[in-house]
Amino acid sequence: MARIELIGVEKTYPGSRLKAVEGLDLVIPEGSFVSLLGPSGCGKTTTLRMIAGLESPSAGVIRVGERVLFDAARGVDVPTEERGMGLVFQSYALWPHMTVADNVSFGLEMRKVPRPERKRRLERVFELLRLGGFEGRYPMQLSGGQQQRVALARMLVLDPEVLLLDEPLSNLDAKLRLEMRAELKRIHAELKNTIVFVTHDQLEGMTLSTEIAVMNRAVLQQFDKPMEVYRRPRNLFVAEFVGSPPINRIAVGEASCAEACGRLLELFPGLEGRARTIGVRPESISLSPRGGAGRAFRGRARVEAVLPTGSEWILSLELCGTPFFAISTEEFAGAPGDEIEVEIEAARLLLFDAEGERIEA
Amino acid sequence: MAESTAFRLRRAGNRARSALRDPTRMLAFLLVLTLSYLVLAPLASMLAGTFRVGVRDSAVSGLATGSFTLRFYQRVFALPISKVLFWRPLGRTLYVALMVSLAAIPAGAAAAYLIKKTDLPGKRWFSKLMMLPYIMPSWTFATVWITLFKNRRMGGTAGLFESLGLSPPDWLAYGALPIIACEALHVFPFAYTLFSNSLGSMDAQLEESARVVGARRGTVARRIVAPLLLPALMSSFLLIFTRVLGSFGTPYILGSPVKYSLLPTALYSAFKSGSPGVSSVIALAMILIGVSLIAVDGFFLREAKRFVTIGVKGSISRVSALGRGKAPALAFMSALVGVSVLAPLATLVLSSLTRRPGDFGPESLTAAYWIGGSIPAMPGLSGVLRSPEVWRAAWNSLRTSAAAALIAGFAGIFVGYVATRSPRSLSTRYLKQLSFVPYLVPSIAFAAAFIGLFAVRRGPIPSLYGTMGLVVLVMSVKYLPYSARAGIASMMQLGNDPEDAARICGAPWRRRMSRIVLPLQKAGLVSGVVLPFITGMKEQSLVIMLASPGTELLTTQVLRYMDYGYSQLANAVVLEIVLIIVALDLGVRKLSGADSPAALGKG
Amino acid sequence: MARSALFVLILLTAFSPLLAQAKPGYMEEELNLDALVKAAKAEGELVVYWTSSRITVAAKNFEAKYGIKVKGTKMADPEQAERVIREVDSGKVQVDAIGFEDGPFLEAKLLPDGYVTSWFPKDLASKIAKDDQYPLVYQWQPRVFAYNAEAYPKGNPITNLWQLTEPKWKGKVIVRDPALTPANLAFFATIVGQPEAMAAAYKELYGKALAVKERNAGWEFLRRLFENGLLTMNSDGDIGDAVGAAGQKDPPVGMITMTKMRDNVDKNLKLATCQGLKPFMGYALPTYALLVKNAPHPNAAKLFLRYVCTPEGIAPWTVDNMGGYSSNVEAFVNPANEGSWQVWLPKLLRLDNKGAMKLRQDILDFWLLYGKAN
Repeated sequence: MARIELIGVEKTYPGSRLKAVEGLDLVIPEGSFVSLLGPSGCGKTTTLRMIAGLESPSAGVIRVGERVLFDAARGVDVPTEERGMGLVFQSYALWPHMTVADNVSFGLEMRKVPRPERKRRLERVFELLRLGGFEGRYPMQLSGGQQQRVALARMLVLDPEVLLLDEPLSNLDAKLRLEMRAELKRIHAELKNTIVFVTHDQLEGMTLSTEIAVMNRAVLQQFDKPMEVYRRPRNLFVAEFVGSPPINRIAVGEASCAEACGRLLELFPGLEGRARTIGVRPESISLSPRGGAGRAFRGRARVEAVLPTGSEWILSLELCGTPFFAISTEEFAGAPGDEIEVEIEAARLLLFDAEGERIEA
Repeated sequence: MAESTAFRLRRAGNRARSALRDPTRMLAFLLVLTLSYLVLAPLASMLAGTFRVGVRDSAVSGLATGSFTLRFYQRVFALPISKVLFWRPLGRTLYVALMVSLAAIPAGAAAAYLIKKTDLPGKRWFSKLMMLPYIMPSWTFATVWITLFKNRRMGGTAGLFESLGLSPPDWLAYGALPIIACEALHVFPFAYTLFSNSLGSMDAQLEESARVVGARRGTVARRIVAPLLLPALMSSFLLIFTRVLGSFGTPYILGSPVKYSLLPTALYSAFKSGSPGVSSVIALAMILIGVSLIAVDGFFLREAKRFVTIGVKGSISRVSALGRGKAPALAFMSALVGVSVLAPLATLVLSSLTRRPGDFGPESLTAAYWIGGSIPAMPGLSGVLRSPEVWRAAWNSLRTSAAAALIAGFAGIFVGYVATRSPRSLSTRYLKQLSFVPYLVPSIAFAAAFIGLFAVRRGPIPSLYGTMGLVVLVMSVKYLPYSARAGIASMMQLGNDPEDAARICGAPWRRRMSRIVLPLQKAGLVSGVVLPFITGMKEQSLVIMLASPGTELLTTQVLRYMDYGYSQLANAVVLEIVLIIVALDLGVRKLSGADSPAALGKG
Repeated sequence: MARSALFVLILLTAFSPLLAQAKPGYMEEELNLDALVKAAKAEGELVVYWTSSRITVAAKNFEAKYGIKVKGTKMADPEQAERVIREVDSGKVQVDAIGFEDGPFLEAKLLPDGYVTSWFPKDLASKIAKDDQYPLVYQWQPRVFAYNAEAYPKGNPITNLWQLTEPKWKGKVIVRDPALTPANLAFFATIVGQPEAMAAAYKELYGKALAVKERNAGWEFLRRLFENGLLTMNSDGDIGDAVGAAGQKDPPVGMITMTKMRDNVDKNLKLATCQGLKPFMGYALPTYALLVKNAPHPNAAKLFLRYVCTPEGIAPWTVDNMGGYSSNVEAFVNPANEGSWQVWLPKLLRLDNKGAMKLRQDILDFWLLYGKAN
């Protein structure tokens, strides 16, 4: 059973007063594909390395299935090499002095897998990752995408119950990255092992994972399914971190948009006192108001700039003195300087209190 | 509560087990322990020695051996004799360093400019030849100088000019002028390297944009180029000071005949004339001067960082045409290379082939100094290629340098390993500082400290006095700063990921080291080992106090021959050393394709 | 039983003053040469440090006679002292015996502190003068001033030491560096201890009394000598070359051991000793032969020490060479030596080891301060 449990895990690096990871409680279900998402320095890589055993937590317990890998209170700390996990490094960490085949079979050798079996497993993983024909090459002779697949193969060949990936796609160009995402998803579907994936790219997290753990400043912000995180962010940080273009925010009480704010808040009777920030996803702004039923905000906005991407149109708007991004999948025919009608459904507005916590309407 | 005690015991047991199973921590612990002892203990014992009456001191002073005294400090700093023991050598050291800088920096800078920024013909050859003076042992020039200018003041084989009937005056033969000239010839390649690096990394677009906004050539040189070269200037200056402070051979050979002592020779004479206490106080003073030089260098390095940040990718360097200046430029470069490389080597070769310098007649020309079974007027000696002494010295040089280089190289890699494994830990910071300390201590002072500590049995370490082991130990510790730096740099470049990947694959520590880390460190290990090895082959300052009959090295054998006035033999051995070093240097460069390793170190 | 024990006790008490004065290790009751040779042969290769390079010849001869290899290394006194002290203190003694010329340090430190013992081969007691038996001197040499006979065909240009302080000899007097040659320090110290002789010599030369500004006439002489540009070299051989080289105009004078006179033949030098120089031509230089404490090959060392005291063992210094005098009365005296040791003694200063040690630091500092080499 490869369920990963982290209970009260903390990490403070020697010589540093700040905690790299603080009070982390997280249960990663078996067979899931979990992304640890957050800005750089949020503690996600540290968390991953603690699971791998490359860092020792300062406090807490880490369990995989029934096996205790780390327990600060009892002084248990199973060394990495005995944890039997897989970890693909951001840098791939291929051994430049070994051929592709040697790189991949090294782990099997360490596990004293007999030679014929080694060969069989090597062939299988090369097929899975489409690496046939590269066995005798050295890592330096491979392209970035190939190196990345070798790094993956080196771990997959060991058939680990838990596969950890540390920003494995960040060194690839855009096209390759997309291909590898699909590849990872295919592999996960095929092998069904538990994958923990560290990324700072919210799109990657959204597209790949079964669950996302958003972290900020050493603290876990939210752990949920991707669409839940997007639609029902627990706080302002999560709302802002997930989504591109980012969520628009209106500070309640700012003079320049007092009127619009007032009208927006009217939609949520009883919450006027608590809401401090209103969040509006760009796609929630309707540019062709139907004026239909339901509670909605309607107003006039000025077009500042039109940014067509080909498949969609991103608009930079000004609504009652606040800059706004809107996004439209329909062609936008207007020009900068135009005044247009916009409509925002009340159900798609997000409200946050003074602490940045989302208020359920 | 018995249960909680049991629990606590089990936790302690678990923790101890994982600490013991963490080889990095064990390694860090061992390194901290060993290096502390090898680096700090000698210095501490030397410091203690400045307050304690030694056996020979007790004979002259009448004080009891081992009793406390401030006598040495008084003698070095506060008595009329201090003028001779310390203050005059100090003044002369500073003077010589200053004059060497004034001679070597312009020469090096001019050569760098001609090679980097103009269309000088044959610049590749010039740039290669110019590193030779630096690769040769620093005191080679001194032996050459003596061979040429020795006058009647010194005994033994006459100098070339003396035997031609032109008796060189003392000021030309010995003392300040020749020391400055020889040191300058040795260090100008360093100024050249620093300046050519600065010029090479300087983007031509910097000058061009100044021209574009309307500056004339002279203004560009003054306002743009010169300020950017300031760091190179400061580094050259401080490096030359450090070097003069640490060099023993040249002032010993050229200064002693007229009692022109610099600090290293003053320390040595104090030691030789039976006052180790006084020499320890001088050593202490030299360490303080060394530390302050490093501090100044550090300050300027921080200042210089402002200049470094502007480095642009794909910077372009353009050369300007010399035009009519070509002939004088070529003459200048040829003269520089001629004086610093060709003339010295030719002198050594010719002197080792003639009985009477400058006389190439059949009576004088001889191969006896190389292959003679016996040599007239030098009782009991044979040519260097047939001399058991020289062969033993060569063997000693090779094996001590090799052993020291390997020890230093591996220690460097391990320091680098610990530093990358736990970059922020206390032990890493301590190890980094500690491995730098030997750099601050002038060689001869360092050797003095080691003799003081290891002459007698200390705990489990037997007395190493008069053994090759002591020479190896001193060398390994003294060269640690270079190999630790090399080790840290190459480990940092490698990072932890390759090893961590192997851990993930289930490899235990020993196999990770043998299969992944050490194979990947080959390049780092080569520079961490080869550099100390070559340095060891030409080391003199460090070993002069340690060499004894049987532990004689090639370099100390040279000084023995010079002391007894056998200049032909001395010169033949110098040539041997130069050949070995150049061959090693070329071999390594060919193998590694890297820059001259010897040129990076000190000699 | 008890009575005899008491008797022994009384006997011991009675002789205790004698025992206390006994020179440790100095002499064995009887020397059984055969037994010594046998024990020596069982010990193997011997290591000795010696002030003279002729030690290599003596070593070869010794090996030819006894079949025991000797590794003899030429080494100056300060280095010998340093090494012996270090080796003995470290408990790792490599050297067995030394040939040493620094009498003051020997008597002030090495002997009393037990770093070396002066062992005397009893069978030679009748051949070697009592004074030379402890500490054992195996060789005496005159270290005297010499001049260039070619440049001064009329003979010795210096008849009085005070001439060396005159402008004529400025920068033209060479001695071995006193800082590295303790015997020269002892020489200077002994001069300081003889102010009357120095003052008298001055009066004899100039016919007037010396105006002493220093502590006494001896110090006055040293200061004037040093300030007159006294030159130093590292070996007697170098000094011999500098003084005696042929074809020189205005050559210097210098202090050398008589041994170097041989270079008149080997190197075509024109050296001559300053016979008639007052108040002394130089000094009598002893070479002590000593056994190192805890020597790894004590019997071989003893055999070697005895060997150099025999006419046969001294030969490398007396027969093949010249200038050396064995302390053994039966040894060969080279006819080229300008007379027997008895002839030499009155012309030489006898070094005062005790006084020299007390003054050593002062003399050295004095030299460092006033010896103006530039």
